[in-house]
Amino acid sequence: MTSGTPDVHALSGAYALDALTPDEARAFEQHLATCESCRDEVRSLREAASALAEPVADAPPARLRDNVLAGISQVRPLPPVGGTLADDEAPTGITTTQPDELAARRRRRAPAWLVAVAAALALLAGGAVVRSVQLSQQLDSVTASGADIAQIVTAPDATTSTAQVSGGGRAAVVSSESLGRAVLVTDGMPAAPAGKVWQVWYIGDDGAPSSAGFVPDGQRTAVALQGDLGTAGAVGVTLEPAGGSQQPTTKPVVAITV
Amino acid sequence: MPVQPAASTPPEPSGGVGADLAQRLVALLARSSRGDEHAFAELYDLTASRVHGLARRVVRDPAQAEEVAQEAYLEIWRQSARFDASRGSALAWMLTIVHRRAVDRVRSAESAQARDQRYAAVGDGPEYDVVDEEVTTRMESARVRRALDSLTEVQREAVTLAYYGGYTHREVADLLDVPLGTVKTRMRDGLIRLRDALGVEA
Repeated sequence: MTSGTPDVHALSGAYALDALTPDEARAFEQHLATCESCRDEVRSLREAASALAEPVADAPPARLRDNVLAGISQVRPLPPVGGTLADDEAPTGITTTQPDELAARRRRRAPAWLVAVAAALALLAGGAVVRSVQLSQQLDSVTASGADIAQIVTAPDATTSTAQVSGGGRAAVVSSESLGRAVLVTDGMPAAPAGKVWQVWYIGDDGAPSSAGFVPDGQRTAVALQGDLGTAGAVGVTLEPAGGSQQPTTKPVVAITV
Repeated sequence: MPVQPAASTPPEPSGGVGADLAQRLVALLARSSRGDEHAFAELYDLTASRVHGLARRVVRDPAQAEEVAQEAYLEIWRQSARFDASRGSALAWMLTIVHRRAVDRVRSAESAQARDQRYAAVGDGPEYDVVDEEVTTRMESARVRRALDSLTEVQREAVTLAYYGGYTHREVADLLDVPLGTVKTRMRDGLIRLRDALGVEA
């Protein structure tokens, strides 16, 4: 390996030990998607790393069992990845003005969580009716994380905060403290200029930012933020070079207290 | 209706997890994914010492370790349908969730001072040698410790600083004052040696 071409395969050990930063881990996961030998190696190294839990095993206090079982009774397990949305609850109270067959199919398939996102979008739009067809189309870009979005916005303790975006549009954060997760919903934010992205940050109580992902392209978007809501007191969005930054390099266009 | 603890099956190691336990965990995860809380209670009973112990070892603070373990179990419950047995054992999948939450906690929560204290504690010696009175899997623990002993000193140092200490590879490089590339290699070679000593299927 030369200094100019770092050998990405060599990161398998650090990755299996969770010793990469979130950005490095994401980059390595992109490599894993295309490298079967690394996938196999990571799988076996993870098994080895997990064995390190044996020598430190330590029976928890009995209250942990009670708390865990009480906690799970409040939350539904997520559906399998790639599972059909058709099994989900049908929406209520949302109508479509496009009676074509495709729209009808989309309407039938719109799961309950879309209704919740629609409610957040409606809040942004000042109560205007949000059509599920529009929503389905807009949310096509985030299908993979749709189940996460569903889990967060339908959590019993989900709360919504909204704010104006400097430069146009509005944004809302739907957060669930019990899950430690949040969804960012935007409406009418201007597209990022070429070579730039809108990067989302969790802002800790001490003001320290940590990257939480990116705003998807589109007029109306919803994205499940990466990482743990933790002690974040706010969610901010900044314009960053494509690929994102380690730390914000521009002034936030919006900061939403959660 | 109270959920009864499962009969105490002797826990097995993740490295060479007994086939019975491994299959049991897979079945319990599948039932959990369909909302079976009794199955999840049994899953908890079979794994709680490992999950809690790992969180405790990384996070150190007992109250925070309990929080991490509880959050991890909630995530395991939520994600149970996403477990794919073709991509590794159920126990490794669960412990990965626990470990990631634990390192997230120590990396995000601490001040520079607390971090220094953490290193001072890690630097006290090979802590994997400390046998906890509560360890329920003495023989398997001994097996893992023996496997750890098969690593070179520098490999063991890099692996345990990362896994038990929760440090990133850059931090480990700084702590040991060696180049990043060297640390990456020690971590990978160390885990390969650990894997082979444990007899994990490659």
